[in-house]
Amino acid sequence: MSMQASDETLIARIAAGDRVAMEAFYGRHHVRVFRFVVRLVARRDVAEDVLSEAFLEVWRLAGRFEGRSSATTWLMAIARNKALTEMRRRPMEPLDEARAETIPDLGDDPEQALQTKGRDRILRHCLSALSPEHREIIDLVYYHEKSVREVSEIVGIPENTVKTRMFYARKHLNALVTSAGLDLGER
Amino acid sequence: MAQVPTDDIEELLPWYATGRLTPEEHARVQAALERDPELALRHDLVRRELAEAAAATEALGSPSTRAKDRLFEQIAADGTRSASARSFLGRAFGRLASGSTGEAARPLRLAFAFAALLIILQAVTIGVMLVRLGPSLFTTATGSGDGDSSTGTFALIGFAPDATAAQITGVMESSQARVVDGPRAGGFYRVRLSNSKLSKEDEDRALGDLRGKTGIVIFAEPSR
Repeated sequence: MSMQASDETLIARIAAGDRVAMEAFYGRHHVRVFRFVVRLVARRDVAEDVLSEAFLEVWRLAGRFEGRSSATTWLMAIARNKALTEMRRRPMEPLDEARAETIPDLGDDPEQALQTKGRDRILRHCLSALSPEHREIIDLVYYHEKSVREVSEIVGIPENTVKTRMFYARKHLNALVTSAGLDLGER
Repeated sequence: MAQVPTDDIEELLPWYATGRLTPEEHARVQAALERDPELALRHDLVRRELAEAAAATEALGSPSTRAKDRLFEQIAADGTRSASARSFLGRAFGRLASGSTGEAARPLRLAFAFAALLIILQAVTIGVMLVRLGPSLFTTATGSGDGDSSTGTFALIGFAPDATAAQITGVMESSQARVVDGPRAGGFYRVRLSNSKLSKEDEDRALGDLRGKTGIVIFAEPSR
């Protein structure tokens, strides 16, 4: 039976220049970080660039990781900063094919869309239609299962703001879901 | 009995559903759910949102291998630079080690300890870039076994704020200069250009070479 090294152990080994540890850390977290970044930048190709930049930052700064937050919280904060830099660099970029892939088109008839495209696609559309701040917090809480404090550390806002932002993000998401004809009570 | 503010409780429902509340908050929400059926319905809605949102995020798929290839190419490139820096560092320590035997050993060890302390202090001061490459720039400084820090030919130099670590390392290696003190006020470093006293002509040539590194060295003047 093999014991899996903790993230913090891997970070310590990465700080010493251990590429095997870097491979393990990347393998463990790259998919979740990628999905978080895709939600922010809304383009798969850009998200892949941000992903590799974020992990490169981990490689370079591992020696400065102090363990005050978890390694994944630290990683997510790095990825978020990289994503925001990328978003600032191309703020008004027109919608292109790569971006369109991440935002399903519901067409003019939500009822038909419901029948033909399924619940996941509708919810993806509704999530994509939220503001970046609301998309981000829904994702951090529901998918990444981050605590109030961890979201506060990743996003850089007070804990009370985390709670109210999540409250309003949910409110907007439910309004969008309802207008798209999807009842979350159905299964 | 005091009424628990349900607005606050409702805000906590998403974290109750993911199990990420503190034990105290968890107990508060649990108690409120047991006595408030309407709140329990809202909690059911949160759980459905959670399941749907998580499934929608799962559907975003995975990155291609391009991201990983790019990352490890960059890491390999970083490793090459680090190896070069380590090689420079190794030569410096090698020189130190070769002079650290016999009667000279104790003062040299002290000097080495001082140099190591200087490395740390300097690296902390001048930021992330030099934190990573600092040792390669500083370990050949004071007490390097090439003579004490008062002998030789010295200069005061300043680097451009946007000079990269690789550029600074390159300048230091090509000029055979060694930092003996710094950073001083204004970010200047005192470096040893030679272990012996250079002629005025040779000193001017060495300083001229440093000044010629435009974009990297912004100041180079003799230091006594």
